[in-house]
Amino acid sequence: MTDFPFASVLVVNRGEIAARVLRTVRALGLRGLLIAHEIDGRTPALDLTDDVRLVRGETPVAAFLDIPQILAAAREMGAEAIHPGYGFLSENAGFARAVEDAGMTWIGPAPETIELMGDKVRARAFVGERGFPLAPSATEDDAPVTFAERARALGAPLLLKPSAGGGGKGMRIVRDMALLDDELARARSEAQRYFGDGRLFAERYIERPRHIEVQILGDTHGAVVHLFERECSLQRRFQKVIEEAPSPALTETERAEICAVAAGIARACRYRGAGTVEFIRDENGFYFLEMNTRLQVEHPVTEMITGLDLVAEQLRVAAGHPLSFTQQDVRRDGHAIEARIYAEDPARDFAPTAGPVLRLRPPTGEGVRFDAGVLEGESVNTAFDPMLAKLVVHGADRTQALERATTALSELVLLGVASNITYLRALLEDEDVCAGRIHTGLIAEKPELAAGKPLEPETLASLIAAAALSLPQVRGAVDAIPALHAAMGAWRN
Amino acid sequence: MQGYLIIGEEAHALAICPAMGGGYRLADGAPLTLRESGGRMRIQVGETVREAEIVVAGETVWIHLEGVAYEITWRSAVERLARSADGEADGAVHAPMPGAVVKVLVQPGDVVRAGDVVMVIESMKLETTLRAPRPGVVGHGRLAVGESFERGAMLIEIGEGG
Amino acid sequence: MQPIRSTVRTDGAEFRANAAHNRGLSAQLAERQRAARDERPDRDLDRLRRQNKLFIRERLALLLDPGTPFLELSTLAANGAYDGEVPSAGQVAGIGMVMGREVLVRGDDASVKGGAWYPHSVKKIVRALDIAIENRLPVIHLCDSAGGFLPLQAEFFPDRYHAGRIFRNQAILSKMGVPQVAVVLGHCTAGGAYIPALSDYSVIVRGTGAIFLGGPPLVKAATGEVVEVEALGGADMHTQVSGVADVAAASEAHAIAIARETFGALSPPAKTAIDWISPEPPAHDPEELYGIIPADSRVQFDMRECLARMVDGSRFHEYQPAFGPTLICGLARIWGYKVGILANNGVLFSEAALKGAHFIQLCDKDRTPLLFLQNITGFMVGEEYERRGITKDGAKMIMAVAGASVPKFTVNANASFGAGTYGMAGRAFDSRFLFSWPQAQVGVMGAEQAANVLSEVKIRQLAREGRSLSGEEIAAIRDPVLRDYREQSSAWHATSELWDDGVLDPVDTRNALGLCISAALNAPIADTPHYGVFRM
Repeated sequence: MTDFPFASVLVVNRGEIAARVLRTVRALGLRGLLIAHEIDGRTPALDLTDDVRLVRGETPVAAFLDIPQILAAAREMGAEAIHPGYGFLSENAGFARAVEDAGMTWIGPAPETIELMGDKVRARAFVGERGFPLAPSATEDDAPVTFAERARALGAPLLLKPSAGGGGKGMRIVRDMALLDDELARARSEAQRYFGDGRLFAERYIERPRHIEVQILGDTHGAVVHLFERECSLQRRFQKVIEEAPSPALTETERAEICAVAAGIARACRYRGAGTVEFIRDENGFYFLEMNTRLQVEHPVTEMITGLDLVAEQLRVAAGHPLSFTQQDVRRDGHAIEARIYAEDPARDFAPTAGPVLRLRPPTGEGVRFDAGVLEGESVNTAFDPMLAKLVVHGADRTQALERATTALSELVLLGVASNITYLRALLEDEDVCAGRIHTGLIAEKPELAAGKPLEPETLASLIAAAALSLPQVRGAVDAIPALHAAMGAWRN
Repeated sequence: MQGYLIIGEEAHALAICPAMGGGYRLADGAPLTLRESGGRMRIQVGETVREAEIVVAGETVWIHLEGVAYEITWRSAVERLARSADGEADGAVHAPMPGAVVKVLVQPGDVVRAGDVVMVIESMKLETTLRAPRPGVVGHGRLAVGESFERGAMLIEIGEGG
Repeated sequence: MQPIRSTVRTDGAEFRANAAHNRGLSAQLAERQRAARDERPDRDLDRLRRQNKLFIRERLALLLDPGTPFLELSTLAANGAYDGEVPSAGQVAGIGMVMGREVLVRGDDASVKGGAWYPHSVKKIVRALDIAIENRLPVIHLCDSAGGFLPLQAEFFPDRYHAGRIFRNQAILSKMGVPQVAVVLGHCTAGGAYIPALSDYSVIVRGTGAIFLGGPPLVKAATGEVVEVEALGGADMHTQVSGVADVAAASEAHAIAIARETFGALSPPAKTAIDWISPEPPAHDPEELYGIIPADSRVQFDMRECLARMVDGSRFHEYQPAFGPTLICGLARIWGYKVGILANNGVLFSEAALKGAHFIQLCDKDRTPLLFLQNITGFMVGEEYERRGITKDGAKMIMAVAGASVPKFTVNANASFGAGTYGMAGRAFDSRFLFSWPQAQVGVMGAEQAANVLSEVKIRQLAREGRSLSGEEIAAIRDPVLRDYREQSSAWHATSELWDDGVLDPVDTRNALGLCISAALNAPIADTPHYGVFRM
């Protein structure tokens, strides 16, 4: 099944994902096209593309959101299909429509599906109506009079949020139901003060939740399969740091259940292409969070345990081909872990870093995959998100995967810009992480991991010697000492 | 003394000595060598041998040693000792001559780097740009455009942080 | 060059007895130097701490390049003066390495009487600057002095080579283009204020450094004006208003770092090239010197044995070995530098003096520095020798020594008496550096001889009056003379009075000379040597 109705694919993205998509595009014998921003300089994607156009904008990010400019570039390069990657315009239904209206193939789900799942309220309603599990909640808007009662009925612990709010402001956790009325009153007045609107939204507060998501794939012939789950509980301020497949928390029964639910949701909305259904799981069960109608950053861990190329599958589905395998055919093997390499300094509260990539030496080794978004010799800028690369590792089991991951992180050489590589290693060596006792609050609970280990005296001595002898001004100062005086050393009479 | 190496928050004074017949050693006599070995650098301090990747960029040395990347910055003794002893005194921008404020380019709370232009002043029909003497957070000062001042007056304070 | 054949029995009783004696002297030297350099009453060190000041040794450690040698001069100056209360004359001076260049470093030791200048202190400073001038060595001054010790001003102020000579020397150094950097770490008062003022560059520490011709008490006494130290002569005033100092530093460490950096920014010296090859250590262990030098300084020993423990590979090319054998002349290398060596193996006869004068001229023409190893009691006396012109032959040797344009280095290895001192480049003859070994003596004649002569004079005088003296009465005349002479001709006394540039452990001599030769090559060697008239 190697024939495609489109001969070229334009990747509307940058960094590691642009390179990764182009790699598959070329492997399938298609022409790869790219848009790029000047500020990124030379990139791995540039080396893989057959043609490129520069885009401009008020900010670099704005350039990647400029639909007219992008479509013009697509037309100029003769693009016949468009792959949006993740982020940017990947979940922009308007863009999907514009692409289709322009006669190009959109590598993604139907625009209506994007719209449905993009609207959090509509998505929850759609899922709830069809009997799929939702985190219990109560919205004041529905029936203000009964709100307090319905909130109480949810049970403790309860999370109160301002309906009009955001950014974590005005949220409070109620653990003792006896105090509910008091807390409601105070939450209301805070919401009023911060947002000018005292209405509330209550949901069960999941202590130590685990973030589990299921990869699904649907074709244009009605078939939907799941490709097992991923666990993405290691997050910092709602940003995923380390992901793995499969989840160490699920039994086979739980796995079958959650994957069936995900597939069911995808089937219900006639999902076309690759998508991910995200759940929150606690000791009581799992609840639908949202559905992402695009390829996710962490898709490689699924690829590594299933042996599939998800981008290739996306392209096949977009070409109108039916899935070449059934759910029976999907097997998982071993365990995969992905660590996201960010340009940030854990020791300085993860402040973004910038600088030249003076050296980049990816790790090699069995089961190691390194998707780089930067090239040695180029500079990392702060215009876009700080992800530099993804390190993905496969092992026969979770223990081997963890070992290979920590080894690969040690071998990975990235010099010139501060990164979170050592922090990732500390996380993967952490006792609780190794035991699989992870949850979305773990990273926040272990701030000491960001501080790094104190230097051993021998390590410090080696660093000082290496740095001193590498600096011409230090070496020169010592070289300036004449041979006679050098030979006598620190002699005194 | 050949300056200081800053690793993380620590500053380490350098005292590398010449070794008889060429080469280097530490004050306690431990010989130091740094040699290329199969694409990496081989560091020896006394009996301890390590392999590392090393890149120098100006006054910064990046070293990948035992699985960890280190950023090491060199500061000359003069520069380092001027900073640490003076603390806040060095952090303020003082008027080099009497004059008036023409333009203020920062606000209290702004994070600046050493050398960033913070203010333009005018004196004797000449405009002069004033720069932050060190990195930090802009604090208080006489910031109103048009205000005049004496020589030596403290114009903008640059505090630690940022 | 062949190595010297040693005939000393290192396992003999004599050798071992000598070694025990000389090691004892060596230990004494080490202990005296340690005390002079480092032993200070706690209250004096505490006072420095309270004043936020570093000890002079700490300042030196910050100034000098790590892992480099420091040849300290006249550590035991003033050891016999002022009841021993002014160790090292309150001054440190030496040749060290700063930013890869040789420097004459000198500084006030504020832990000794506040760094006040005593007569010996002034002499030490003048001598240090004379060395700088003769060898064209840049100077770094570490200034921290309370000023002149007024009760003794008549001994350090008015005369030609008194305190004024310090400032004259500074001016001459500047005129010669030899740089000076002054680091003001304490007060520079009155005369002392001129040290930074006459230096090419000066750094002053904010809060502790001050420069003024008169301090607040003097100003108040003189004009009634009341003014604080900072306003009168502090760092900010001088670096912003008066321009007397160049840079203000935040701390002593900062000031010294600035001085190093300033120094490093100056053009490197162009050193004079002389014959040099890669050094090799002596073939014989230098520690054997302890066993070679006799315990009794009146016992003659073969200087060649000493040379074998001091020169590269123990190699020595002797000149006229059979002629004038009481003076050994020959070429050797010290730390690779070729040097011409004159060493005494007995009294100087005419032949020896002529040989010496000739050899000095040969080395002068060949641009070979000269090393004089003194063990000389004098020239031969007696009718036969006078008739053969020993006096004019000695004069020829003195003429050659005085006129030589190559650098001269002198080590008093045992004895330096009478005119022998002159012929062997004693203090008056402008050796770039002159050192004594611990057992060495210097004087117009040996103590025994002097005691005999003086008591002989007295005996004859009394005999003319018809009296004679008993054994005890003779002893009563002789013994005090003996005692005084011994004391005043000792190396400890000589070094106390700065008649030398320091007492050296014999084993340290090789390194000291290597450093001295290297330092001396900062000055050019005149192209055409010339001398006065040799009385033929």
